[in-house]
Amino acid sequence: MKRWIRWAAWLYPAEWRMRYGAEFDVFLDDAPLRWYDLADVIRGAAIMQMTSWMTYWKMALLAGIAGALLAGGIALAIPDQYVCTSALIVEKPGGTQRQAQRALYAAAQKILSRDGLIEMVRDPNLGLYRKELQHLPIENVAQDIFRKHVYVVPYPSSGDPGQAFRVVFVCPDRYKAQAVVARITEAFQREFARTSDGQTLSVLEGPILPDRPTAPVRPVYATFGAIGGCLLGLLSLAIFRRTRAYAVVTMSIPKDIKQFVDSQVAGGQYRNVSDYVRELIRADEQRHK
Amino acid sequence: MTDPSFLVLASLAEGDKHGYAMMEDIERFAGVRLGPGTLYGAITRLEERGWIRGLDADDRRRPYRITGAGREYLEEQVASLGRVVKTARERLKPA
Repeated sequence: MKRWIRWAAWLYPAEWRMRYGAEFDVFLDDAPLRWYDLADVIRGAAIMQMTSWMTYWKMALLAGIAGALLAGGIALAIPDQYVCTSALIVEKPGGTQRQAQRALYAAAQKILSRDGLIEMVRDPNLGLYRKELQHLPIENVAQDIFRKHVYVVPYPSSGDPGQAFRVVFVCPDRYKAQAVVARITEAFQREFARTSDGQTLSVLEGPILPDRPTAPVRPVYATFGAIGGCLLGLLSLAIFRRTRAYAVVTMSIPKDIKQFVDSQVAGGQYRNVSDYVRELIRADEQRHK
Repeated sequence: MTDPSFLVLASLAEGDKHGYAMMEDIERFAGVRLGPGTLYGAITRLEERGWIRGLDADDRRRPYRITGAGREYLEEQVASLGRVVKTARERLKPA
């Protein structure tokens, strides 16, 4: 334990160690030390460091590194998110884009309906949301979780009367992401084959297995953590130092003068002797301006 | 009552002492064990304020002495504490 505490003593500022280091080492030799003395020495060193301007920026840097590590740790705890998409187009020879939009809307309403989503969550081949299904009803998993991760996003196609759109699914498992998009793409194809009404559906781009996650962007998390840690560290140190901004001056004055000062304080004009002396100094400052 | 600066001043009011002697003395009269960081934090603050001063030492155990200003501050603190104790004692008396 003594060895640990002796190492912890090196955390004190260099100027403090120059003044007290030798006698502190002897003190550590003499005193019977306990395990919580280690925490006491670390705390004492941290306080000394915070009151030293020399180490002000060093502490801010340490806070920044701590912030970056914390944010990096949080980013690592967040699972990877893979995005898989497929691109399709609805069109009808001689038809308008408005008609294509209506057909797409009707098909999407059916495929991504409550029952449609439940069917996909229930499918053991897809194996979606196994953890969530252990403590939530399948309806809630489908409506509250699955629905937030699956999208049908229309996008403009160049000068075409048809309506192009993307099927998007976001998932921590890239294979499941691809399987779900493939399933929904097939469902659109079946739907348009069944109720074509002259509309045709073409796949512009099939679902490709995503090779890298899109989120979380860990370097961004770490950078924000570092900046936040630095700012928080500087702010905390500034507040800490501000609360200790008063310098302490010890004065010796004759007793009769002290009695006079006490009577002034007793008169209520000043809060205490320090307040009285401060006022005198301020008045002198004004006189010299 | 457990303010380390107050306890260190109270210990030195009896006579000059080095760090470990102060620690033992404080534990004896106040029943409070000051850890190394707390004790030397108080010594540093008190010396900065001019309420104690380090003496020259033959070995590396530097003794400390309370200064006039330190004694004055301690007297003020004791008087203030005495008033609090007196008031509390009076209020604790059964009506």
